[in-house]
Amino acid sequence: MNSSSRRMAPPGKLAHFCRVSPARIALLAAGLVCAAWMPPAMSQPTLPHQSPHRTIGTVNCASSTCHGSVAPWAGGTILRNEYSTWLREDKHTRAYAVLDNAVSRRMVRNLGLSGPASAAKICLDCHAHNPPQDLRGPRFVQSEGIGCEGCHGPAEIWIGPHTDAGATTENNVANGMYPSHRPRDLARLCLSCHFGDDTRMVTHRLMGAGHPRLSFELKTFTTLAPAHYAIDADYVRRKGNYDPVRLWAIGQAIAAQLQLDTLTDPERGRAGLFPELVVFDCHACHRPMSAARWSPRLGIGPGRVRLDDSHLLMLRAIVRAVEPDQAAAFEADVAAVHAAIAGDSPGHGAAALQRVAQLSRRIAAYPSRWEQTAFPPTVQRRILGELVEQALSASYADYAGAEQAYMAIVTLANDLVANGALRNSAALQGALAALLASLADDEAYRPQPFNRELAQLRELIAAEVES
Amino acid sequence: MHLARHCRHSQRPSAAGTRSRQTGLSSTVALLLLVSLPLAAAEQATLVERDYVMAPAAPAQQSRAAAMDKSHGCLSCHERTDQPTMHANPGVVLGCTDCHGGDAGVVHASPGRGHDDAAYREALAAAHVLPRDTAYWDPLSSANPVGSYARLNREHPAFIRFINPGDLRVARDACGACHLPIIQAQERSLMSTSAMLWGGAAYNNGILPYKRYILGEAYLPDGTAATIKNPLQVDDALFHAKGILDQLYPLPAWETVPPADVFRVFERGGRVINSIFPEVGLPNVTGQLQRLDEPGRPDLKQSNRGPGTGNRVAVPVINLTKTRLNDPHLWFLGTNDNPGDYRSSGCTACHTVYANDRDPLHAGGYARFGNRGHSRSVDPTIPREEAGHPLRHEFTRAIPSSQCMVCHMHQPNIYLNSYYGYIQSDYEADAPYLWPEQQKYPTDADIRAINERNPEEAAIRGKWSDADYLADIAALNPQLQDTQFADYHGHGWVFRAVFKRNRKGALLNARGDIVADDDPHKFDKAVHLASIHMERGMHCVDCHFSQDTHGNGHIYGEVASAIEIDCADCHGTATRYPNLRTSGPAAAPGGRDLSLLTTQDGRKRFEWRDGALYQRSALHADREWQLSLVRDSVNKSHPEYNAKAARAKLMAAGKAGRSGQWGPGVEAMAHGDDKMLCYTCHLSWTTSCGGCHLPIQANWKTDRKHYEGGETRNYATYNVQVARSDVFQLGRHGPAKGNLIAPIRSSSALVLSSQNANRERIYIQQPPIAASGYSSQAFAPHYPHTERKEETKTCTDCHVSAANDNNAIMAQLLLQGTNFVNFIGGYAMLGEQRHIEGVAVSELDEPQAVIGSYLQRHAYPDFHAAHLARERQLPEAHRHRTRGAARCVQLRGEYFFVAEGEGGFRVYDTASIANKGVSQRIVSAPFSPLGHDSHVASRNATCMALPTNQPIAPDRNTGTLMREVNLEQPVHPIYHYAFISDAEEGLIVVDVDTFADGEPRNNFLSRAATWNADGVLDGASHIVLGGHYAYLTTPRGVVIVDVDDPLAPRRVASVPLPGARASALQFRYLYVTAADGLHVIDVTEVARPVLLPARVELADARRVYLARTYAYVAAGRDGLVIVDIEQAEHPRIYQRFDAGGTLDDANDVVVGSTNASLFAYVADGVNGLKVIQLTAPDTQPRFYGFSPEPKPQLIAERKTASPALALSKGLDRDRAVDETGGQIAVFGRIGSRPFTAAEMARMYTDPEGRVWTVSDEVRDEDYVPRDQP
Repeated sequence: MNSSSRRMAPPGKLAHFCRVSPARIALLAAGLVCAAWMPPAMSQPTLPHQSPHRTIGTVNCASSTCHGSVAPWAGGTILRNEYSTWLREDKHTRAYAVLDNAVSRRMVRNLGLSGPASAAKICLDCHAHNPPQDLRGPRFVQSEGIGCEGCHGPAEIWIGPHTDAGATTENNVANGMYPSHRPRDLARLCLSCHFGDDTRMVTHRLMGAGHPRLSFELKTFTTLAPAHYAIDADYVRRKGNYDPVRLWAIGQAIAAQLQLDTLTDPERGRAGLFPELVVFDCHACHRPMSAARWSPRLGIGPGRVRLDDSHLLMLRAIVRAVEPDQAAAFEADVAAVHAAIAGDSPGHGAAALQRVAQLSRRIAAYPSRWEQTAFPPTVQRRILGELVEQALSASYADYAGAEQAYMAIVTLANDLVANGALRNSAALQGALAALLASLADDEAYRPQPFNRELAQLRELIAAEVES
Repeated sequence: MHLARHCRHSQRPSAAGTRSRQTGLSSTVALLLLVSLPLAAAEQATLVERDYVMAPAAPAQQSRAAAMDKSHGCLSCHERTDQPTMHANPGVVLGCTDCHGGDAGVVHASPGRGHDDAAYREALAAAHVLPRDTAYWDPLSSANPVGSYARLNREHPAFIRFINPGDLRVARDACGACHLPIIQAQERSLMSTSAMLWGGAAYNNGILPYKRYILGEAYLPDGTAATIKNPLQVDDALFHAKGILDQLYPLPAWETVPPADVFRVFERGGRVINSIFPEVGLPNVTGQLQRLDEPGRPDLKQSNRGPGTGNRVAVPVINLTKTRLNDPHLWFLGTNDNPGDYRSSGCTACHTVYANDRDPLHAGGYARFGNRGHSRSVDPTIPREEAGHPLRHEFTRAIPSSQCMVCHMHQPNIYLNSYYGYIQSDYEADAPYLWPEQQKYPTDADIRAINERNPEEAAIRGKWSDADYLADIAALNPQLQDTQFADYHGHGWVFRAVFKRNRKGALLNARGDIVADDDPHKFDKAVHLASIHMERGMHCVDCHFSQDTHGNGHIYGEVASAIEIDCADCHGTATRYPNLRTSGPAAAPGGRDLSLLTTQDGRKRFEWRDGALYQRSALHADREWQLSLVRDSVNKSHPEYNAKAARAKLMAAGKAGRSGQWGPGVEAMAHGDDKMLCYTCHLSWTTSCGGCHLPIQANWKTDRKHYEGGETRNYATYNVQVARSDVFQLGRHGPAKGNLIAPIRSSSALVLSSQNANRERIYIQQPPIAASGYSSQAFAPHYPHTERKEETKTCTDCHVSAANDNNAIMAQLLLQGTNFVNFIGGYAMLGEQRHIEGVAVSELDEPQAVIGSYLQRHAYPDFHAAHLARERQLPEAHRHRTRGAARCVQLRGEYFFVAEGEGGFRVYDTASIANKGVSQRIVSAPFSPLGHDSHVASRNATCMALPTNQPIAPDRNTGTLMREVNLEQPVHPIYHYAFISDAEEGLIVVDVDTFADGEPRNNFLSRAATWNADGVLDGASHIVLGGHYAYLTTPRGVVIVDVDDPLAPRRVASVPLPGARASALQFRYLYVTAADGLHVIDVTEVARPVLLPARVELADARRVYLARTYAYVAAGRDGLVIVDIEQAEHPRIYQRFDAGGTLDDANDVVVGSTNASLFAYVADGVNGLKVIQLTAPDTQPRFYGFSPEPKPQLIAERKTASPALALSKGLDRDRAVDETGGQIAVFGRIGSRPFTAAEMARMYTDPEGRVWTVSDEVRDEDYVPRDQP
């Protein structure tokens, strides 16, 4: 065990994060002014790995006077230590290095790859920024993992103008910088690896070869990354309002949509005779035969493989709180999808895919609507309430859903505290810590303790919420 | 920004007044704010007046189009370049004139035509910024000219910015928009200010009494001198703890700095010899008032105008100003004349690389570009075969060590050579390749030209003064017998490799086996003692990151204090793994996070992988290495376990340690990082500069290399006489380094000489006295960067060995000295039956070869031939009658202390011994006998001893400045006195401080005490001091007297030894000659001396001299008997030497070193002085050993005026402290010092005073596992 790995949180486990940052308070003040911000209509931007531009290398960003300062600078619109934050704390720096560890070596063996993982496109596509050879500049270093251009887009065109005195975010984006400040685009970017897209995918085959279980939640993960930017007045001025709950909600919608679209994709959605199993709940199958854990919550009966519905559970809470008139339709679509996948609806395969596609279309409309939706404390409390109430319906019978619920509850609770809408912060921290403890091990997850802790939290919130 | 340059002097300050002994800073400030020195009118006339336009400062941000507008015309000739903005980062948007200035609107109309085209030249002149001094700066060449130095200060900043935008005068304009904090820090950094050299030189040589240094170099953009301030107010506590300074003032002009020395020519009273300098307002300018010398007393005083005029100046300041030492530093360009001298100034000095060295371990990937400063730029206007251009127009952070070495190749600025495993060559190793077959007689023009390239005087006679010969001298390595030369030659110097050797000097391979002296591949087989880090491929920048090179914004005076990195930051300690946070003295609170550092190409420099720590090379994209982790090396269950390392690091402290116990279960560790620095043990060798000779000559008209420049008279060459690699010593570092135990080196001790305008040697080879009153034979804690894994220091290097074969090693280690590297100098000083006499035994020019020696044969073949033709007779001697037999003599400074029997004790003045203008070179009364009486009558003064032969001035070491600011230890009272043995009167004590006060009118001596209780000293014949214990011989034996209170001596013990004659002390043993031979007395416990049974039988042993592991006995008719005393308690005769029967009345012998060779000087009653070369490269190939076997050969002799009885010991060069802990020599670094008596004792005795011993053997039974109670 060495000191640097000791300092990091263990991979795959959720860190407890409930600190309210001053930046967020600043944001609130600014948010009042900028609440009317509307995103311009836009086409879907090119993801960095599909950019036609040359990648010039993170080193070009890392100058101590640009983004590589050890400590943030006072004044200016940027912190200047973005690179240092990334290098010091962001796990994306380790993405490439883990390709050399024991798990990766085992995966290489299991997959029958000819070279090391660090030479395999299937691995490099997500464990590094992996542009085509002809789009790599002389100072590009793949071993740095997911570097600046892996997310912000190859910098060939935009690096020069972006240091101009008059540079704007819009100009930068026009020059090929990826608009990671837009929740929808950010979600799509992150999920293109953390779930997969039509060019790269963590399939069940990879999982079978030994890839660790994936989970993702946009708001939580961008906070944990950690953020290398401060949400302050100039951020809002240049990039628009920032609402963590909105970010969470849009992340859920995009994630769900990606999952559903994968299922309906004739290429990705199939693995021979079987559908691509990675979109299903892992623990539906991966548990001891003796563990009698079937829950009737989805109404599809025992012994059936069920979709990983963690994002859909979150969406249900959001829709109920934000668009209550849509809730019934949404829930009906979800139930139909579950039933169709389980084989309870007529038409079997084809019908099921239609159900899935229908749900996807419904969800696809949410992000653009929610980008213009305010998530004031009253709405947040409603969502929080829904999330807690879902425990009563045994919705968190599976680990994935419980995990998402926890992350959502933390996001909401933090924001409510920041807004002064929840006051007993210390007690809340205790309750959240207990909730997290019940999620410590996905293999050993049992819904009862989680629900119990949720019930405690519910009482606490009920007592705390100002009506 | 308000942090820098608060105080701008519009004029160059200079100083006047007397040597400052004041304790307040304000008085010093007053000293420094005086007249400016106008340049000579003739020089100014050569400067062209122009209207300069300073370009606007380069912007932090601009559009690409705007930048292109500022490059447009430039590109019409400079069609392409390497990195247009110097930065590899495309985010940096700059045009040519943003940095350089000049006119980008000028477009060359006829591209493709060269320099000869008139239109081209016209366009060039219009576009470029032109110099004022067109005769010096070639407007058609961008190459750095040779030796530009202070010429930059006479140019307009617009021109400086044009030729080097990174110059610190203009870097705020060119680089400041983005890098201002670094520029501000750099202006205050040691690499710019040189404060460590100037402060140390000023203190160690008595010029300024401030260890809190006040001198440093800085300039305003227009080249005027600047004072720089620390942004922080620095009090004493902060100064002590962190080593930071509050402000630095410019160096005063040398002409106005009064002499710091107490040499006779600087004394008051000169009337006859007027100043021969052009001085204004001089009354009595023709000297008509008094033109006649007093009969027999020539007037030596150099000007009647007082200090700071004529030659009455501080010689070291001339050196700092005019002789190239470390400099030039960052304020100036490199000299661009030798391989290893090519660089720019300011930021550019480091961040653009020049071709300086062809060794890839030194220059990395740049090695293939040669060592001649040629460019590889793609710019078509840059000639490829012209020296003085950077390799490319681009900045780099991948800076090779060879770029650092351009400056760091000299003693006061860390001596990076030792990192490479090199040291300055000594003119003797492979002398046939250094010296021409025919003796050179250089013309004045030759000398001037050579010394501009290389300040060594010896170079003017050597082959290496030829630039081309020097540049390729490393190609001779396959032919060399004695050493291997390096491929870099900064300052024009030659460096030799240091190899692993045993104490006798035999080459050793990695396994420790001897490599034969005649093995043709011996240097491939022997271990070259370069740093293990360099062998791994590391360069300076792999440890010294941004802050260590730029500084942290504070002003520092000492190099070690300005460093943030520490060994443990990367290697951890025996008890913890490294945390990759800097922890050195200059580290910010909490330290810098090294895990954030990246290489130039963006790779993480440090990375943990699977429990191992890796570092990536800053220079080589594909190179990384695994770091040794100390904790793993001491862990028995780890694959990297090393038993020797574990034993050393986990050795128990206290009683358990003395019995050899070690292991993780020990209660406390003897060698923990709370006690000592890692490199105290992990160095393989360290440099020791026991003496540099600075001979000043008034007749040389030379440039000032700093400040206002311009030519003035006087020049001093710089001659490293004693750069040794065989000395290992310990002491305590200062508080900035935790007062830890550290290796100490002899650091740039000086001897000064001077010739006036008539080429009269008005003083020769005189060591100054430090401001603290200690001897200027300076010592300092030092990190030599020679760390290795195998060739480290072992137990028996620092503690008494079980075999008891390291008595001399211990004497050296503890800084008590070994009498081996002693400096005899130009004259061997003898005591005789009726005279004292100085016999000229060496050349007084450089190299100061001993006449008849190996070095003389090669450096002065004609003189050597003449010497052989004289049948080796030495031609020159000077003498003075005595009142009785001079049986004990000692030269100290310009005074010669003599015990002359019935004539009593007398101090002679030998200041003029080499002065051709003086007829009586040795005098007893420089004034009338009424004005000076340096005689103390006694009935039969048989001998005398000074507590040190190094010049000292104990009275200077008083007051709060010395005690509380400078943290100096008090001087022990014995250092005021001379101690005389009188056969009838006993012990006589005389205060001799008067010779160190610079005041000629009070030189009167009298007895301070006389002691002979119970007649124990009746018949006393000889006296030796070991700290405050005096060892006297009487016919009955040895009497030990404690003179801790010099005025109240106290007998401690007596050792009966009939016929005892004389003695000599080395660490724990006193060797005594007696009627029946040589005896040994164990004086570990002085109060309980033990006469050991061993004895070397000799018929007529008279005096004995101990030099490392040999005792040299002047054995009467047996001549010189050399006794091996490596086994201290078992001396055995190594060799008897009688010079073919011509040495048969040997009375006394002393040993000294000149360059690399060892010499014995024997006083023979019948035959006079005999000079014997003990080692030479052709007789003893192992001459670099700690104590090589002597191979005596008679090389010179002289019949003396009357029977020769005694010789003066040479100046101790490795003795900083006496046997009872009294400090003798000055220590650089605030708060550092030699060990106290108690600290020394802890190294080898238990609390009861019993000696404990060590062995280097690892024994399992000593292991203490962790779980043991």
